[in-house]
Amino acid sequence: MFSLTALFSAIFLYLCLLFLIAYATEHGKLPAGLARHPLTYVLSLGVYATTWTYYGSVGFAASQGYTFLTIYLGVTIAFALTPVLMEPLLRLIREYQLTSLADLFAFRFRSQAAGIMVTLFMLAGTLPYIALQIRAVTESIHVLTQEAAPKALAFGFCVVLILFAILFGARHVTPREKHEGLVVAIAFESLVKLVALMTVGLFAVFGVLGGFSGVERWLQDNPGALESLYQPIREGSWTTLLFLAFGAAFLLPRQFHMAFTENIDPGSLRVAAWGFPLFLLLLNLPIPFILWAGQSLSAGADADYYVLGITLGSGSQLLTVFALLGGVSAASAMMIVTTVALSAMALNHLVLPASIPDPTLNLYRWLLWGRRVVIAVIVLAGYGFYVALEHNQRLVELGLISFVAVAQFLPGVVGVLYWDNANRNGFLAGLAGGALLWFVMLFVPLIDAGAPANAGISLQPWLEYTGMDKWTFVTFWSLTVNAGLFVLVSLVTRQSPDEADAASACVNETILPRGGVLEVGTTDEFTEQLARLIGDDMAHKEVQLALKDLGLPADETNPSNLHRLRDRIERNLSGLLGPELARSVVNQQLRMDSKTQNLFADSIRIIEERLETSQMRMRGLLGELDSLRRYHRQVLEKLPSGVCSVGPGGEIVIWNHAMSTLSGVAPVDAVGRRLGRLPEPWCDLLDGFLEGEATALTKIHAVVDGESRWLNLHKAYLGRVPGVAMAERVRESTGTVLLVEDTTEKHKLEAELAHADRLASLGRLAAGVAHEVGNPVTGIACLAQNLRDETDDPGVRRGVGQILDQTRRISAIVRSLVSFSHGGQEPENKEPVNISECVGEAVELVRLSRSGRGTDCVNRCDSALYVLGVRQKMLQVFVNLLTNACQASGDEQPVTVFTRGGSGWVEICVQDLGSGIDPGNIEKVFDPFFTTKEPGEGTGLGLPLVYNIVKEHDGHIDISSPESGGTLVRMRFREARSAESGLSTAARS
Amino acid sequence: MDHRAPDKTIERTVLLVLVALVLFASPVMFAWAQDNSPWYTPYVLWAAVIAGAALIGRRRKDV
Repeated sequence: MFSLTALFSAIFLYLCLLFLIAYATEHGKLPAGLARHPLTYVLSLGVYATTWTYYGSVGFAASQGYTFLTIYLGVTIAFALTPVLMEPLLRLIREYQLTSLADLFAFRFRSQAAGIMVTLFMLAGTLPYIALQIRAVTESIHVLTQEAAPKALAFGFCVVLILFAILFGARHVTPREKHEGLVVAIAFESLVKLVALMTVGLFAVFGVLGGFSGVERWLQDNPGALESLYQPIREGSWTTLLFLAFGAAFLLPRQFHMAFTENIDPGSLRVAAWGFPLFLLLLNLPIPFILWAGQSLSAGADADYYVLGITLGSGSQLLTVFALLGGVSAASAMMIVTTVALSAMALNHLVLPASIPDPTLNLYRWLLWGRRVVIAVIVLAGYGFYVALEHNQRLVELGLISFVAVAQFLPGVVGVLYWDNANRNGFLAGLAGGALLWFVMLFVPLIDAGAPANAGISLQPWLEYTGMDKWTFVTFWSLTVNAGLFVLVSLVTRQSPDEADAASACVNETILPRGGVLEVGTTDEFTEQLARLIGDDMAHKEVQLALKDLGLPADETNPSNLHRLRDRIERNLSGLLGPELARSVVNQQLRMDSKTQNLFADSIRIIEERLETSQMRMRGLLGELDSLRRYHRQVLEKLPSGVCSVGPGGEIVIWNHAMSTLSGVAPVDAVGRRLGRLPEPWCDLLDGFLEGEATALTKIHAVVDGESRWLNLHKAYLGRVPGVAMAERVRESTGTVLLVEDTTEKHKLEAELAHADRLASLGRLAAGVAHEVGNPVTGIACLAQNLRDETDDPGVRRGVGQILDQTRRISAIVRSLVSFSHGGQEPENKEPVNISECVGEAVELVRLSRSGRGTDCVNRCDSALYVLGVRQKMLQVFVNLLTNACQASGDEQPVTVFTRGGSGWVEICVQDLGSGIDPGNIEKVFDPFFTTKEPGEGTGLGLPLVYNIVKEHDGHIDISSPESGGTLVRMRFREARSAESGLSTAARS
Repeated sequence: MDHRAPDKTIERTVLLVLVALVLFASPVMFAWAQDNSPWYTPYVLWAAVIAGAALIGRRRKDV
């Protein structure tokens, strides 16, 4: 026999080792990847196996044969359903920062009452289970010491576990930060109980039964042994227990906590789908051997404790203590994780709704300590239950009571995942009905002094009448009432809009923002508003955290992004305060303008984001529709005209690429913003057009980035989109689409055409004038010459000479007019003209004139370049340009003519360093009769003539005059190539 | 357009669970739960279901 002190010391040392492992993990003393390893996750799920498994399975097998396997086969089926059950739940829980089953139901049914009810029921259903663990530990000590374990020992055990749970299970308040120390310690505990049970199993086979051949012999000698294992399968409550275990696999608080809340890597769940059932199989493999070993030894002890009983005869105290520690690890892991899980539920759904702390306090600290106090209260309540409990139930009885309790959440979970019409009234009614039956038929008899007997009596007539066993009867009726009420009440009552949103989030993985436009407009206002309820420090941290999560800048003002920020803050707070309280805080402090419609842009954005990032691959018609959506989206994006769609609330929904290029406003900055908050000139232009009655405006002038632009605007009103959830809320219209057409180039072309037309009119006028004036002038000149010839009077001859000078001048003007009037006509006889030669000839001619004598004209043209044209006209161009350049230049300011050749074109530049042209006159120099020369010195037809000749030759001319002085005239012609003349190529070769 | 073969994980999962239910929650149980069945029969069936789950996990395309 062992002394109580020795065993207590062993337990204490084991728990110290557990502290050490958790501490080493939290402080980075163990490999960083350990906590994230899928094997650690699988082992941490092993918290499912409590003392019920460790000790109770043998007792269960003794009384119910292989029925004990149902408790693990149910889990196997639940985990086999990982892709359709566990993964959707995990996604939902991670996405919305939910920490417990109560959070999940409170979120889905938008009901604090649901959270409170689930928490209370979970507490009531789990306390017997906690009491079971304490009892198993004290009774196992009793088996080894044959002394009644004092209550103080049980109390000491509880205190150590409270300390552990507080230190390693309540280090962080937010579910974003995982308790890696706790995860690794629980995984270690699972490993200990697996190795301990396997060791005891091996001892049973080889130490008691004489090896596998001995097992065979023993079975032959005891033919009833196998029969007693198989018979209950055919007769007992196999299917019911399978179903209960299925639910318990993920609904028990400890399972939910380890599988979802403490899940570090979602990918680990795929390994757990087979790894966790494999762990359970290995754990249960030794059970038949231990049972047979116990029976062969007639161990005497309760079959529940054969695991310890058979080791007493081994002579190895180490083996016995190891077996005991396996049981301690099973009990401690369950108690720690369960209390941590329940504490989060109790804090979020019982404590916080009753008393929101003063915002001047540090809320993080308050929550942390609140959780720690709740942990202590729950463990001590479990201890109280243990003390008050009659000790005549089998371990399995206490465990199954909890299983039936959590099975009451199954209809709710199915509703959460697959039925979007389920509502809070149905859930509450169903849960209340199921819980009431559970309470009356299982819980009351448990706490009643003469419980089992009375319970049997009270249920016995019903059991005999229906032919069911107790577990099947209670499970069937409680769940039938539960599911029946759930469905019935859900069908006859209506969902609230909030609930419909949450249902959509759970079933379709989409949630649409509700409630209109935010009243706050900056992140600072977010912080300021939140601080009133949760304090400055927490408000600042939460806003910064949400901004970081979304990758938004601290000065974000885009309403659509602020909407996302609000959603993110609500989700993050949900992890701290529970979904309902978080929603209440956010709704109260970050109000929406309820008079305004929803941000339609948000709805569109969220739907598109969901479609782009959806985990589900779309197939069939759905896939084709998605391809069609992408095609239409691409058409809109690539449309060469600017498209801007405006939602019913006035916010921009679509801002395509052309619109972005035209306005310089990126889509990310425009979408979600109101038209009136765009930069100038777009805000007034588009907002005014939207508000106005006209459906089209043409030739609207706007200055964009300092440049003049001419725009055509069109608009069309959009109708309601049928069958789209978001459109259901927008009954009248889904907004307006604006089309912005940039007609600047067209406008310039029209101006050029008008100019050419004006020149043509002037040309016709000039021709007429020249014809009408030319003939009388010729007559005057003839008469004057006759008069000069007929007289010798010097005075008369001088006067006649002046008349002839003036008539020559008139004739020169008339010739110019005639030349100009011929402009624009298609020249005939075009031939390749060598630019260099032509310029050289022009330079010679200009030198003969008075203005050209004092100026140096330099010909730097490439002698190999030709253009197709009329030589005389080209000469006229260069003469006119060089004459103008010489007149503008001083004696020491040379005029240079140079060329630049390209692929198929020739650029000829005439550059002078003279006085230049006033910027205001640049645009007028090609206008006929415009001149800056003194009256009588210029006709104002030189440059217009040049312009006409250049245009006749399909060329282009522009003139520029930098502020530093001088003028540069650039002309561009098509190069005469071999295909047309063969000369250019020949000249080059 | 996505031309990858559709992931049949859900179909396979449902099939596996149906097989498990047939084995463990239908009259088929009476076939293997005979008194003269070897002691390890339920463990072998259980291991087969686990192997099926592992196989489905390995063949998933969205890993």
